[in-house]
Parts: sequence; C-alpha cells; structure tokens
Amino acid sequence: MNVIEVNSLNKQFKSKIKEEGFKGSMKAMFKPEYRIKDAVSNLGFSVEKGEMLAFIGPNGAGKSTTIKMLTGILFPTSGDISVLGFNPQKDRKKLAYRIGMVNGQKSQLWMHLPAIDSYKLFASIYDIGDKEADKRIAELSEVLNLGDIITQPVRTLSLGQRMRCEIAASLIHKPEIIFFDEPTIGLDPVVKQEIRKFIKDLNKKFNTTVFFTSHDVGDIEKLCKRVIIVNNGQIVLDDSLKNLKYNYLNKKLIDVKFNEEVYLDDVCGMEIVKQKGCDIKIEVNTKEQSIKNVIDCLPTEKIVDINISDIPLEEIIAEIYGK
Amino acid sequence: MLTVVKNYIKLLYKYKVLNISASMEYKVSFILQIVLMILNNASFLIVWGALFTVNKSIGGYEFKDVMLLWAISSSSFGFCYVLFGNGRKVMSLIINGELDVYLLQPKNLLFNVLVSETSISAIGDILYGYIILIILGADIKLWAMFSLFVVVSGIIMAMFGVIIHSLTFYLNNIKEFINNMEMLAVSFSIYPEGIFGGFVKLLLYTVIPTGFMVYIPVSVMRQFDMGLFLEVIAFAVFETIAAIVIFNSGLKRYGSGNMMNMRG
Repeated sequence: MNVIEVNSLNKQFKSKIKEEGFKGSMKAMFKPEYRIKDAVSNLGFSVEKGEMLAFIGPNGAGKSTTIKMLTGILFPTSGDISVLGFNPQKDRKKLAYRIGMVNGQKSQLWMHLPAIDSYKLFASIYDIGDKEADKRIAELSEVLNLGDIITQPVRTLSLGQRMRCEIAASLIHKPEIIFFDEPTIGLDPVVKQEIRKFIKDLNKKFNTTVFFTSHDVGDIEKLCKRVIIVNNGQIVLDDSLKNLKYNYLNKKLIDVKFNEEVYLDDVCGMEIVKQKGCDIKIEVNTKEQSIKNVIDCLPTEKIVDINISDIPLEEIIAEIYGK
Repeated sequence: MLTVVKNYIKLLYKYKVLNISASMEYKVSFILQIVLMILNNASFLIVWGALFTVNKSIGGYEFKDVMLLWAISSSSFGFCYVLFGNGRKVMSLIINGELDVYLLQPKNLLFNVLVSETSISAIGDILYGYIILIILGADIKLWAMFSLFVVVSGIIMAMFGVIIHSLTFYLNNIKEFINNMEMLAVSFSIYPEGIFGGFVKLLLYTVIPTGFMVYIPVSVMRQFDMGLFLEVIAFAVFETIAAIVIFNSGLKRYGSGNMMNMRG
C-alpha cells in the first residue's frame, strides 16, 4: 500500500536579478527583472507503507523543497501529492496528526526549559491527554535512553543529547510517516550509530515509514533499502541500494601489499589509483576484466596481503551527482 | 466544536505557562522587564501632569481623561503582546522561513503562531493601566468596562499587526514600513483625540485603527453610548476577518527557508 504518491510535481521560485554595484541596485529598483527557477521539475514517485527511503541529492537539488511540499509547508506550482490519502495543502491539519518531522538544523524545543516541558506542550498541540502524554514521554524516554536529560534545560545539552530530545518531540503523537531532514548533521560517530539504531527499531517495531534525507552516506547505507537521487529538481535515479552499489558502477578496488616495491604496467584492464612504497591500490572495471585475471597479472609470489572492496558509496553518489 | 475550543484554550494556557516559565529562568531580568515598563509609562504621565498645570483642558481632555487614555492604551497594548507575543515578529517569521515549525502542527496556523510567544515586558503595560484605575478611584462599572475594552482593543491592535505584517508575503522585506505603522498606531493612542483633525483624524479611523482602539473606548468610559460600544466590537470583528483572509491568502506565497535557529 502506497502512503505517499507524487505525480508531475513542479515548484518554481521567482527571484529578482540584480546586477552588481549601485547601478545594478537602481536598475533592480525601477526596472526589476526576475528569474524563474525550477526547484522541482516533473517529479513522480511513490513510497510504500513501512518503507525506509533515502531521498538524496546535492545542495540545492530540491530535496527540502519536496519534503516541504509533502508536509504541507509549501504549495506546489503544479502536480499532485497524496500523503496517507490527504492532499497536504488542503488537509494540512489532518495530515499533521499523522506525520512527524525531524530537522537537524531547526529546533522545536524551548532552549531555556527542560525538554519535558516542551513535550507536554506538544502533547496539547496534538490533543493528547495529560495521562496519555506522561505514558508516551516515559516510553520515548526509555527507548531513546533519555534518562535525566529531559529534565535539564535544552541549552545545557550536547548536540547529540539535544537531537535525541528533538526526535522524541517529533514522535510524541506516534506518526505513521516520519521525515528526517539531515538528523545526524554535526553528530559524533557514537551518537550517529545510536540514532541510526533507534530509527531502524522504530521502523521495525511500529512499521513507521521513514523518509530520509542526509549527506551522510553512512546513514543511507545503514538505514535505507531504496534510494531516490534528485538533481536540479529532477529524479536521476530511483533504485534499491543493492542495485546502486553492485550494478550501477561495476568497479572494485583491490588493495595489495607486496613484500618489496613492484612496478606494474597499466595492463590487464587495471588502473593504478595509488602507489606508496609496497602498497598499491588498483581500480578494476569488472565489465571489462574479471578480478581473477587482474590478480593473475600480479606477481602473486610477492603478495603479503590483499583486500578486494566495492567502490565507496560516497564516490558512486558523487559520480551520479556530477552527471 | 466545544472540545475543539477547549483544546485551543488549553493550548493557549500551556503556551503562556511555558513562555513565562522560560523567562523566569532569569528572575532578575524577568522582574526588571515588568517594573521598568511600569516606570517608563509613568514618566509620561508626569509630563502630562506638568502640562495640565498650565491648561485645564487639552484637546477636550482633562488630566483624568488623559490618565484613562494612557490606561487603556497601555493595558490593551500589554494584553495584545502578552496574549499574541509573536504579533510583532510575523514579518521575520515569514522572511526567515520560521513558519515551518507551525505548519507541521495540527492547529490553526495564525492562532498557533501568534500565541506561541509572550512578551514579558507587556505584563508591565497591563499592570500599569490597572494601577491608573486604582489611582483614579474607578468604580466596579468602570473596571468591568475597562477590562472589556482592554480585550477588544488588544485584539484590534493584534489584527492590525497581522494585516501589515502579512503584506510581507507580497512585498518581501518591509521592516521599516511595519515599524513605522506600529509606531504610529501607538504614538497616536497616547494623545487626546481633539488635537487631531481633518485627514489625520480620517487616518485614525481607517488605515490606523487608533480611533477604535482608544478614542472611542475612552469616550464610552466617560459617558456610556451603546452605539459607539457596538461600533468598536463590529470593527474588531471586521479587522479579525480581514487579518485572517489576508494572512491565509498570502500564505500560498510563503517560500520557507533554510535558516538554522532555536526557539527561546
């Protein structure tokens, strides 16, 4: 069952063009010219219930604009959106009871008060009774391991603690779909792992649909099975992460450690990416050459250690962005 | 319907408790904001007192009428920004894309935005009006009428603010225009109506609603007139509807944004 359906979605922004200097300012004042920018162009996709989708792209690709249209924050220029059967712009309030959003760059907590005070306010916003709110706060506190931190003023918390509190705030009303907009930005690796684990558990336990945007490839690798890549407001790839990793670019990296310095020619379809002393990094296009053939080309009697790995996902994504 | 109203009242109460609690974290600042506002307002009446030693009547007002004018002006201003604390920030919320948080919540957007903040110094403004009533030795009837006008005038002031701030949706950054309009509304409200005439008076009963906010209330409190009383109520209803329509129409042009921020 699809919980999100998007068809032919477009969003244009109008911005004033100003030439440099005072002359440009005068011209823009009395004879303004405008540029129409397609932030989102003819976007179409659907998301199934319980799916964990990574919606990624370079800065300015149209990710946040799309999320804002899906959540009713922005009005589209044209196109159709259905989220849980609602039109987000017409039924914003009804939809808000059933979706949540965590934005790594925008806080919804009162910074001078403990998070628990904000939670009680949010409970009122979602018409949750006092008893039910207390129960829900206790549940979230346990799952997110919030402990005493919800009773300390938010301004005194570390970024990681604050983000855990932010996530709890967005879940107070048990949303069926949760939009994460760069939730791990600026966090240390341990907190990142904790948050990823929590999101995974959330999806597993409550079948919550997760719509995820992040520039951190680790988030995507650890959490999402499907990836939509957008660039210049258009979808450039919509595929499973598995296909993206193993089929989209048929390249492998071979790290070889020799017992002495060796000199390899660029033969057998291999490309030497890096050579430092006895260590050599080779890139192989498996469409043109098998790994076995490449290894056969190496002076195997001098090999001390060998490691074959996929091209990092980050590089694959960067290459797709660059196309 | 009753449940919906009850839920909104509960939310309003929680917002006020939360905001006042947040300000009370810094108790010296909290108390000073209120006390200094009362003293600031009081200083103006000292000047007026000096003026009335020269003239018994200025613009048709005696000293106690000016005190009543200051009382209603101060308390309604205070009521407006204690209840609708975000009223003066609507423009910056629109420009900085800070309506996002409110748009994600299942409540009436304009109500949610306006009541989610509380001006602490405005508590001093409310108190100041009632201190004047005590000084004037007001009877129970005047207290009741005054309190009613504080609410109605406060709503007129808030909705006037919503209208001019909502023009941001269409005209982008109009900070100076908004500041001047807000200042004009307040400045005119602390002088006797009789000193203004012609075009200025017309402005004060049309574009700038000072006439409905303070002049008519003062007149009704001096001598009750049902017709004038209903005029103020009707204007408050009209302005509220206008503010809602203009804000909601403009919202379709909202462009959001990506500023990093914290609430406080």
